[in-house]
Formats: sequence, C-alpha cells, structure tokens
Amino acid sequence: MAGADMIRPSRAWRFGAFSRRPPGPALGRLAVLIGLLLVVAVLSLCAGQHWLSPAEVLRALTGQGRESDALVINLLRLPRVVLALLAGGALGVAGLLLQTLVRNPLASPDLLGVGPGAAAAAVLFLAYGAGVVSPGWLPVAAIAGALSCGAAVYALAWKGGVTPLRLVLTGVAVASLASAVTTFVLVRGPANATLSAYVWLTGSVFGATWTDIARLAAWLAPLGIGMALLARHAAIAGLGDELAQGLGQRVEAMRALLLTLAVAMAGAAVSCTGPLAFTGLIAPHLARRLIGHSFGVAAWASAAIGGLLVMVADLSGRVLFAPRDLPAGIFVAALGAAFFVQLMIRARHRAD
Amino acid sequence: MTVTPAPLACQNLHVRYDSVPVLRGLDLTLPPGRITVFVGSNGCGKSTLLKSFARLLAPDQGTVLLNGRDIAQQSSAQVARALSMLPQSATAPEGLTVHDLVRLGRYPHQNWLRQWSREDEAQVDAALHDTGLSALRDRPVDTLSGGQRQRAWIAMTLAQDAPVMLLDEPTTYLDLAHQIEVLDLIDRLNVERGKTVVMVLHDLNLAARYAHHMVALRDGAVVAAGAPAEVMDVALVKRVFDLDCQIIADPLFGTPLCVPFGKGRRPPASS
Amino acid sequence: MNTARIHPGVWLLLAAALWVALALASLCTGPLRIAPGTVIDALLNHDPTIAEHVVVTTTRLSRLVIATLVGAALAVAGALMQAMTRNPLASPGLFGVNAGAVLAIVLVTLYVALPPTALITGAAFGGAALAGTAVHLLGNARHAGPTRLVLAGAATTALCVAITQAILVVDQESLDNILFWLAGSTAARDMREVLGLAPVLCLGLLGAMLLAPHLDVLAAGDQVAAGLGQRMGRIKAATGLAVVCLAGAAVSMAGSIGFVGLIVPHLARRLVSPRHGWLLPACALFGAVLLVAADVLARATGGTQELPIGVLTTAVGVPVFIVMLRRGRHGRG
Repeated sequence: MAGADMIRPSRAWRFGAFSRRPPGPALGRLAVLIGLLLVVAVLSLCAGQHWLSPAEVLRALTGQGRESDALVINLLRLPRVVLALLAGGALGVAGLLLQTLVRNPLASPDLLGVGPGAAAAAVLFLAYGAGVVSPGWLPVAAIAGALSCGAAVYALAWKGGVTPLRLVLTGVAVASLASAVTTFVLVRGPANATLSAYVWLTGSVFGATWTDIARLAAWLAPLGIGMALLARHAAIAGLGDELAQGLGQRVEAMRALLLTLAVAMAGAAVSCTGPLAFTGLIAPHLARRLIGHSFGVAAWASAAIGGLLVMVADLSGRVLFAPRDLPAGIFVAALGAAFFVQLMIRARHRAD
Repeated sequence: MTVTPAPLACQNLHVRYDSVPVLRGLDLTLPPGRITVFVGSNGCGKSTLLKSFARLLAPDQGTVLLNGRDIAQQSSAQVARALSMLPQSATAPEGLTVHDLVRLGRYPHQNWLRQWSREDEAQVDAALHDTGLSALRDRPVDTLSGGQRQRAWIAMTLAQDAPVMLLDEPTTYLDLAHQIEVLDLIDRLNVERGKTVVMVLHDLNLAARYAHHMVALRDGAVVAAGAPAEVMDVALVKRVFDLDCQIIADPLFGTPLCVPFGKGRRPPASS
Repeated sequence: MNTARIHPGVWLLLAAALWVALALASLCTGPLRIAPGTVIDALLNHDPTIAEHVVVTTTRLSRLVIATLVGAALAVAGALMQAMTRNPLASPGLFGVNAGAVLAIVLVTLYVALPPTALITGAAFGGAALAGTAVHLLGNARHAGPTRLVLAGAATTALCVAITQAILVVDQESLDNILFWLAGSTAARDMREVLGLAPVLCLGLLGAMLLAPHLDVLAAGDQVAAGLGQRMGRIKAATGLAVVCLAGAAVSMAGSIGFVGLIVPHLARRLVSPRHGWLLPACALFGAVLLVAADVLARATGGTQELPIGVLTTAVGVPVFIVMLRRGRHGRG
C-alpha cells in the first residue's frame, strides 16, 4: 500500500484505547517556551523596589529566608506573577479559539465585547455599587458584564445561524455601546470613582491577592478542562460551516459552546486584571508562528505566550520607570503597537 | 447479489433558498459505485441539489434518503461516515500543512480518547498516497498549486473513508491541465476504491466524458437522467442550455462531445 | 417602499428647513431658556448690553456652528470612506480614524502646556491620517474579505484607545479635562477657534463635492474604474485626504463622536440617491440636522450636567446599525 513511498516510522502515543499524535518538533519548541516562562517568572520575583537574588527568592519560597523577604515575595510579588500567568494564559487561549472560530487572524476577545462589557460593568460597580456592596464583588460584576455582552452579541448576530462577518460586526457595535456606557459613567458618575475606574480600565495585576487568584483559578479550572475536551472540535470548526458539517460536526451547537468557552475564559481573566487589550490578539499569532497551526499544540503555546506577555509587561511596569509602578496594560499596548507595525509590513509584502 | 438500498436517493424533493423555490418535486435514485454528474445552466439548482443530498440544506418538502433511510433522521456522525462533501470554495486555515488537513478528515471516526489510532494513520497515509501527495505532506496547503490544493482537499475527504463522495464543482478556478488531473484522480478513486461519486460540473463535455450517469436539470426539475451516450443529444442541449449544437463522438474517448453554436457566428453553409 | 420617489432636491430642501427649525431650538435651549423672539432679535439687532443676546451670539452660536459643521463633516467623511473602501460599513469611528486623531491630540497636550489650536488641529490630522493608513494597509490584503477590513479597523481603534488610556492614567492631570471632551462635546469652544477651523472643514466639504462624480465610477469596482480610464490612485489619495481633513477637523473641534459617519450615509443613500452628486450634500445636511438635534437633546435632558454627545449618538446609532445589519445583505454569508 505505501510501498513506493518513503518508509515513515509510525509516530504515535498509544496505550490501549487511548491514542494521540505527538506534536513532533513543536514539542521541543513548547518546552523552550515553558523554560522561558520559568526564567521570566523567577526574574519577576527577583525584581522590584528591593532586588533579591534568585537564591534569596528560593529561600523565601521554601520558608527558610528572612521574614521580610518572605513577606515581599509571598504577599506582593508571587500573587502578581501567578495572576499574570493565569490571566495571560486564559486570554491567549480565548484569543486563539476566537480567531479559529471567526476564521480571521485579527479577531480577539475584545471584539466580542468581552473587554468593553467587563469594563462597563466594572465602572458601573465602582461608581454606584462600591458604597453599597463590598469591593470584593467587583470581579463578579465584571465577569457578569463580559458574559452578558458576549451573549448579547451572539443573540443579536443570530439570524437562522451566525456567520463570522455578522458576528464580528455585531461585536464591534455592542463593544462601542459598552464603551459609550463606560464613558458616560466616567463623565457623569461620582468624581472620586473616575480615577480608580480609569486605572482599572487600563489593565494591571497590581494589588493582586491570593483571593483573586483562588477565584480566577476556580473559574479557569473547569473551563480549562472544557477546552481540553473540546479542542479537537475547534480545529474542525475552523474549516468553515459546510466542511465542518460534511465532517459530521453539529455546527451551530459547537460554535455556541466554543464561543461561550472563549468568552467565559476571557471574561474571567479580564474581571481580575481589567481589559489587557491585545493579549488575546497577539499571543495566538506568535503561537502559530512558533509552533504551527494545529489547534491543540497551538493552544498550549498561546497560553504560555499570553502568560509570558503579561508577566513581561508587569515586569516592565515595575522596573523601567522605578519607583513608579505602571499598569501592565500600558506595555501590552506598546507591544501591540510594535506587533501591528510588523503585521502591516508583512501584509504589504504579501499583497505585492 | 443482495438487494442493498441505493446509497443516495430523493423523493418529491422541494427545496427553497431564501424563500425562492429552487427544486420542484425531484425524484432521483443515484447508482451505487458509479460517477454521477449534475449538469445544467446557472441557477438550475444543481448545486442546491448536491447540498440537499449532503444535508447542508433542509428540504421544504420531500425526503432525501441515505442508504434507504431519511437523512434528516440520522445523526451527523452517521451521515459523515456514509458520505463526504467537498464544497465549492474550500479555504484552509492559514499555514495548515497537508498532513494536518488530511488528518482532519478522520474526525467522524474519532472521539476524545481515540485521536490517532492505527486505522487513522493508515487511512491518512493511504489517502496521501492515492492522491500523490505523500512527498508534500509537510508543506502548507496555501503554498501548493491549484491542482495540488484540490488534491489535498480530495485527500481529506478520502481519509474520511465514506463510500459516497460529493464534490461541488471541483474544477472551478483550475486551468485545463489541472482540471483533467483532478477529474482523472476522481475517476481512479471510483475504479480502485469503488467510491460512489456525485459531482456538479459546469463543463458539459467533461461531464459527458467522466460520468457514468448524467442528470440534467433545468429550472429545478430533472430533464433527463441516464448514461451520457443515451441521454445527450441535440434536443437535450437545447432544452437545458438553450443552445444549438451538433453532437459527435469524442475522437479520443468515444463519449458524446457537444459542439455548440449560437446566434452570432454560424457554421459555414457547406455542412 | 416608496413607490413615488421624491426628487432628491426636495429632500435637500426639507433637510435645510429642518435644520433652520432645529437651529432656532438650539439657540433657545440651555440652562437659560431664551424665547425664540429674543433669539431672532439677538441675531438681527444685536445689543451687547442684554445678557441673553450675548449668550446667544457667543456660547450658543458657537455650539450650533460646531454641531452643524462637525455633523456635516463626519457624515460626508463616512460617505467618502464607504465609497473608497466599497464597504457600506466603513466610517471614521469604526475605522480608527477618530481614535487616531484623539490619540494624537492627547499626545500633544501631554507635551505642550497650552497648545495653540493650529497645533491641535495639525495633530488631529496627523493622527487621523496615520490611523487611516494603518487600517488600509492592514485590512486590504489580497483576497481578503470585508471581515478583515472591519477587524483591522477595530483593532487599530482599540490600539489607539489603549495607548490614549495609558497616557491619561500616567498623566492624571489631563484626565479630567480631556475626559469629557473625549466623549464628544460641542461645548466650551471659543468662537475664534471655531472660525479658525471652519475654513478647513469647508475646504474638505468642497473637495468632497468636487470628487463626487469620480466616486460614482470608483464605486463600480477597481477593474471597471480602471477600464473607464480613471486614475484610481489619485482619486483614492484625494478622497483619503478629504477624509482626514474632515475627520481630523471634526475631532479637534468636538472630540470623538461615533456612528454619525456610519448611519447618515446609509439613510441618505436610501432616501435621497446613491449618486454622490446628491448623496454628499444630503449627507452634509442630514449630518448637521442629526448632530444639532442630538445637541439640543443633550442639553435639554441633561439637567445641570449635560450628556456627552458621543454617548448619545452611539446609544442611538448602535441599535440602528444592528437593525440594518440584520436586515441587509451583509447579514448573509
């Protein structure tokens, strides 16, 4: 059967009924990525107003070092690093999923109104709810905003089905509306809320607490599992409705499910950090370039790169303008700008 | 020979597209293990008919039968294991390699546990071999030539391992050499693997050459159905395409060849 | 469906009449309600000693002029963009042009304490041009569908907004001043500044009208236009320049006001005529009417603090947009 062709060694991971195709050389690159992640994490823990050596960091983590060091690490820096990782990772995966579903590499969670929706809800909360309810409810309000925005976009784009173009356009419209609500509250709301709202809007991991992380992890755990179970369906959905249906996928049901997953992941992340625009746009691109376009592996890479991006942004914010501690969102936006310039140049060459 | 139900058939099929009736009460039975080609002028409903067979469009009235049972009653996975569909303008996600694309064709046979069984691997390798793409397996699909790309898509539907293959205008946008290349491949798959093939082709002469069974449509109704040699004549071409012609035997293959002429340039009076 | 098509000229007259009525309302409305009679008196027999006259000819008149010019400019810019990109969903707000202008203005105010109007306007133009070019380059790859262009626009807008936000967080003093104006406002503009910018806007509008016949050809498609001998590169460049002038001037006058450039051309196209010779003047008039109406509404309902206009136009524009989307051709496929 395969006689005349070159004999290829059969590469597969098989145990009983379980079988998977190994990612090949991509696995090596993924390992490097994770290695890089760890290095940056350690660097993040060392850096700050009071620089520590890696050895001191290690001692502080294992409870052997000075008490002041342990305080700084465990209460201030480690939560930031972990939050950056989790939020960045969630945004990276959500972005990849959306780009696959919409079949366009320029899609991102913000376009479905996730960012603006969460922002509007958060700003409303900060302006009118902060006095009434404990501020701990802010992330919950934000995630509710993100989810309802996402649901509204889907419902409004539904007309016997959802086409990518209509989804995107409706998303842009609803996002504009959410932004208008945000602006309205900022302008008309109580003055003291404005600044804190604006800071939140920029996106940062400042002031991360272990409670925040626990909450985020509680959301992301089932979503992550859901993603792992549904990954193979995402790749098929990315082929287009007719092909996907021809291959036996229930297109509308799967699209609704995957969109919910993406919106929930992005919403959870954004509710803790504020809208870190572009993480969900850039991470998938870089992941695909480094690792390849097969969805499963690309998802892992996207998560890693998303986490890396936010960590680096946070690190820059803490270190580059010391003693000021600038929100990570600024640097993500700066990276976004650089990325866009590069994309433009590439697109131009391809069009020529 | 045991009596097996025809793989694909339709009864009293009425289909609307955007509330405009396109197919009006069609009854068809497609022969197993043969190549069937739908022909007709633009808007006659041939693509709509194919999509209805593929369950991409729901009928207004009437039924489509897959292996003797109503296709609407069968699950998506069941249908996908029985028939594969290649739509007209298939676009691969940017950067996907040939191997990755063909692998996706195994979807209806996989579940979360089994994502790369021996059977999957064997089918993918066989599909690549039969379409002559084994050497190109690691190339991104969007870097291939038109003919190679179409072969990659066919390989994907081959890997799906369904006995019936539906192809919507597989030769559009391809130059002549690639058109012949793709149609020869489909012919070979029909002979070697016994696939039942149902295609829409806009080129009448290529349809006549490759089809065992030709279905001519006009305004959503079947005008003729049968072997090209029996069915294709001057009257048919006039009815379906509104065109005068002369039918000769293809000098190479013996199949009917339509030589059309219109109202402008007329053949010289000598003939 | 209108079986008896009203002549385009009639629409223009109706719009003009509506504008006059709304202009009067605009001059009457505000914290100090002024009777129409007094308003006309103020305009015709201006007496600087009467407080109401002063109010009419300074703050209210400037607001009216701004609303009119900005409304007209944004609507025409939208029509031009839709012709240039052959995409009925193009508009300065959705395609990053507004956001780019805002970003540039914020950057300028960051480094220059009390920037002169000329500098602000220049910055606005520069920002609008850069953003527009970015979207064009990013979104118009070969074989790319309309989705790509829309996404490019949205992404560029998001980028500009993010950077703007970042700057405003860092330099917190500017925040409060700029915030209200970012949302779109016809307020607090010195009549001299307005008069300074008005010529630019009028020039842009004039240029647009001159381009009108060329735009009809352009709308037919690249290949058709080339076949008809149109110098597409030049026309597109000229149109782009006009868009930048109009959007840049509009933003520097009144901040970021969304959806006017999207909705008005559609309405004008359906009611009046798709031919640009009629469409562009119709857009200008309808846009002016829309914004003056919005301005009156904002001040009438706002109480002591007025509603930001940008919020109003978005609140009205988005539902209309979504209805159009669901009903229109772009809904399918």
